[in-house]
Amino acid sequence: MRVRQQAGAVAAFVGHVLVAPVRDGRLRPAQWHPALRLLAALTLVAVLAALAHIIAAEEMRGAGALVPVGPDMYLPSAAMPMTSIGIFLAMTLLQTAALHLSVPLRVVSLVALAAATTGTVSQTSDDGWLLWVPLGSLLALVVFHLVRIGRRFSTVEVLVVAVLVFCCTQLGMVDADEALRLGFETRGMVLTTQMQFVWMLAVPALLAAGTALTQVAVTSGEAVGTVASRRLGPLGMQALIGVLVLWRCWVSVMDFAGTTTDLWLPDLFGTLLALALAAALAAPFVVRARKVPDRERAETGALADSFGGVSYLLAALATLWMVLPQSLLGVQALLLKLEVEGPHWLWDLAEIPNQALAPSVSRLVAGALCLLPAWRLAGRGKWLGAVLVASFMGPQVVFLLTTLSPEAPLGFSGEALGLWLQLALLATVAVVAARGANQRRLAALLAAAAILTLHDFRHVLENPLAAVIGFSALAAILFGVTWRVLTDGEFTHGDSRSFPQGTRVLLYLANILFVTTVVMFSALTRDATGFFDISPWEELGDDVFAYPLYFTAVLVALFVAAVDPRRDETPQSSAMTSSVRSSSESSTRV
Amino acid sequence: MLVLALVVLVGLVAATAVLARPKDALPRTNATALLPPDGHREVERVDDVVTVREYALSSGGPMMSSGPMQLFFALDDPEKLLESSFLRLLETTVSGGEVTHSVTALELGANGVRRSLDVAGQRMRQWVPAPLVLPTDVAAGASWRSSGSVNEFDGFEAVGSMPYDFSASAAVPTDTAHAADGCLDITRTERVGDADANNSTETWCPGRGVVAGGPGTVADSPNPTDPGLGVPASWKPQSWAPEVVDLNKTPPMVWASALPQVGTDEALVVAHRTTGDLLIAPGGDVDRAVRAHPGGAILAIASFGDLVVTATSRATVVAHDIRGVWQWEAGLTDVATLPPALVDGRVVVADGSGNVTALDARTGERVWSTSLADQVVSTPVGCGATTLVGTTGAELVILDEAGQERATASLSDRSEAFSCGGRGEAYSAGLSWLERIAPDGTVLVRRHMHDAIIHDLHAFDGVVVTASGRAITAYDDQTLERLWRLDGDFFDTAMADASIIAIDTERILALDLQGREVASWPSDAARDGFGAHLIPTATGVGIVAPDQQYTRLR
Repeated sequence: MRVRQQAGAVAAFVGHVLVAPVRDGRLRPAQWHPALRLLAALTLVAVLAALAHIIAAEEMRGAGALVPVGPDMYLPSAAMPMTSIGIFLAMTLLQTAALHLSVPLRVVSLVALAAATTGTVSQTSDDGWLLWVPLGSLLALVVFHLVRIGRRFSTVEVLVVAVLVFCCTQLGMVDADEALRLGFETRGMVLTTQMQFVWMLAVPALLAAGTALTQVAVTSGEAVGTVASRRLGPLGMQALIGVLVLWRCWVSVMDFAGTTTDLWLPDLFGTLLALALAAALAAPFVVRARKVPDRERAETGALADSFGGVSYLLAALATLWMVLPQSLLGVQALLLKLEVEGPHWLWDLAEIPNQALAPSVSRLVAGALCLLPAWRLAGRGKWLGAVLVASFMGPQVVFLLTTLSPEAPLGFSGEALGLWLQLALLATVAVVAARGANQRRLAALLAAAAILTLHDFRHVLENPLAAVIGFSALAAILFGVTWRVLTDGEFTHGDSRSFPQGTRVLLYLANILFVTTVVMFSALTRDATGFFDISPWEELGDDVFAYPLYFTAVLVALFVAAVDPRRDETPQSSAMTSSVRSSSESSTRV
Repeated sequence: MLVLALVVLVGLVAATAVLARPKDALPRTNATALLPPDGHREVERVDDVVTVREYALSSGGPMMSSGPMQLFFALDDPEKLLESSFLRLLETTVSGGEVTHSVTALELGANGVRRSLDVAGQRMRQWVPAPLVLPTDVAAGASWRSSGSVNEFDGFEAVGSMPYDFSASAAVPTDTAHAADGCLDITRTERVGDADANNSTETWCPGRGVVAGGPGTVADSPNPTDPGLGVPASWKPQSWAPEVVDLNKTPPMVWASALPQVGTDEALVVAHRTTGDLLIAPGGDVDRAVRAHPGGAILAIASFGDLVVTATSRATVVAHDIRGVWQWEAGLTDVATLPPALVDGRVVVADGSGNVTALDARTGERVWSTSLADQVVSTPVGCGATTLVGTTGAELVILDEAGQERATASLSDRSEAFSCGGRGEAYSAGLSWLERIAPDGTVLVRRHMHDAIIHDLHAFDGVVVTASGRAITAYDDQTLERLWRLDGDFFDTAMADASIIAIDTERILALDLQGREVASWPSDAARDGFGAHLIPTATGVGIVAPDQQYTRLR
């Protein structure tokens, strides 16, 4: 009986953390156009092949034949076909999707292809058909966009776009033999040029993948609270909370042990400022939403659900604009090939993303752009997304201040954030002790303590993959990509005239292939210092884009524990979010 | 329509794969199965004479680019150079402290291997037509002969021509082990001019070429010369005078190098990009340059005293001495693109998969190897007997003399340069932060820098100096308070012996540790903004300008 209970608890936990998100986020290909199913099948094969390349990266590099693809960067020659296929297929998917996107997104996708095309043709030694066919194909694609305005998705679109993208991106690979006889493998440089632009299109997905470990930590922490509240009595709950609180106190002490105050005081101050700014920004949205009777409830699970879309939107807005100035590099290369001296301002514009302030400002602007729709949503009672955006912007202000004034005693670190959250946890424990503990309060308190603890151990999840692949950053990204692929399919379920399902599916597939291709390229080139290093993106996703979810989830759980806003409801209805409810029911049946 | 879409899409994917299929930069040849692969090496020791044979496979274009210039004569029809494939046999003989080098160019054709040219120093022999050394279908019992003329040159000056007569036969080797391996004894008789016929027998084995053998020989004997590992630099820039050598004096020699040059006071060392040759020019004299071939492409290079260490695309580390004599080779798990470092008599190299390996600098034997969780981002740095390694995870890993992780420091950002200071402390310069780290990994002091992309960091006694493209800055080695800063467009710096040498677009300048300029010399080596790399040696620095002018300051 006891074993059955324990198995039931584990099943409920797994159902909450793994089964429910995957079930809700799965694809539904039965509803798709047949051509989309064909493209999905091709994408799946390409993704599996890319994964095989990633796993075999060390062996492929040790086998000997390496192609130089940049300074101190070499790609196994056996991986060139898969890299090329990844670029071609992903670009085809994106360009086909773009035929039915809004004008700004059409422009971004066309500019990315144009940049890859001009960059490619500038590498060829030929001034004849290898130059003009790709450029002509690019022009033809622009015309095709105009022709297809207002039309529905069709198989012909896939055919036409595939042929044109092939001409744009792949013909440059024809022109390699002469240089090879002189000892130069120019195709490596062609691939690198294309990858630079593919990379930028994959950055939102890389950042989103970097948040996955925190996502899982948050849903796991919440599941601990939910499952424990159904399986343990008050005493057991309090004991478990006590253990976690003590453990977290120990961790917080150790985080700062051995370091001098001048090293951690700025972090503590800056992190507190970021939290205060986030709270100040979030307050109007919460107040606005409170006026709506049918508003979203303060639940950690619902917060994690909202985070999926919010994180993608923030990442895309903060990074995709860089495609435009960076594409000028392709224009410059083409002008050089045609022996035309381009204006210097082209270089200046292309350099904008490399300015020190660019990352902080663009993230802040991305957050600001999200506030307007967030305000509208808050008016309909949907305030969790707005709180996440506000939580994102608080630290961004601090990052911007530290960039503007590096000597100022300001900083932001995970350790400092952990300490403040730990203090908030201790304060809430005191409040709960004073007000009297009920099962809901204890569940929320346990969830907060568990999220704090599991967040410290989130990188354990990547360890099995790291053992296979060799690197923790690569493993973290791969875990994140897999998690987001499995759980983000809900995006493809919608259908509207302005954003039809076919386009959603194509974008989803393109996104998977872009990110898989860049992860493969990074794994195979082992670039640790340059453009194709994925670890900074993983860190950025984990440190910058995931923190809002982390601390908001903890604070929401602590708020629930302290205030118990649903104290008038029955325990049965308040214990679970909708997703938890279904998984718990299934586990009960088990 | 769906079927058509499937066919077209699969067809385009297949075409994409075909266009990007691997094409070997090295020629594929079916000249004979007895040929060794590129980078194969045989070592033979007879009494006190050591002979190292290194094989280099390349097509004609890269071979010409590496030189020597005389190889241009290796073909009857130079127009076909780019279409031709060659196996060069680079033979180095060490006898009584004397080192001699020779190059034999073997042309790989449809009907076999032909010997085109022998070059030893300035002397060259051109064989016209090139005699057949090995027929494609060579087997025991086969015999063949060639005749023609041998043209002799001293440099580029023809000094004579003589008839030659060449005959050869193949037989099963008397050595049973060789026979079992499918080897053949090739006995040849060679008569040139009026000289007596020269008879010799070589054993050729599949995939190995001519193998070492016979009584008194030791194959794969490492360390024939035991080169010195260098002495601390002794720099007196106030008394340095520039000395310029034209590396282009023998056109069309092309010093195609993607890697920074290295060298000593005696020789300039260049990693040739397209052949993977190591070119060693005594005093920068290209006419006296010798070639060695580590195998594959050279991905990283460093020199420690008279030892030149290369990391290759075959995932090996190969050491030669400054005279071009092979010393040892060691295998890695993955290729390394960061230059190796010398730490306490060991060559430490970090490969692309996060493995750090220490090799005995004199024998190449693996002393230890450790695998890190993250990739390594900068060349390892020695700090006494410990090794400092920076990782992509923004950590400084301190490895002890057995390769065990002694401590790990969490840095504020990913380090771009490390240096070892007094008391075993380390200094790290990242994107924005300069940090002082205790031997136990504790970050003691952290200071924001106003420079990014630090390319050099050196801890002197009392002063830590950073160099970026924008400035050279000195900090107090304890508090990291800034002491002085010199703005400028610096392309490279070299620091040693209380001196800082830097190059900008107009000059090379020498600073003392107080930031005072103690000497300067006009130089346009960095005029175009690239290719300006200072080569530190024991008594000065060198620099190769893009126009192939090699300047030595000492």
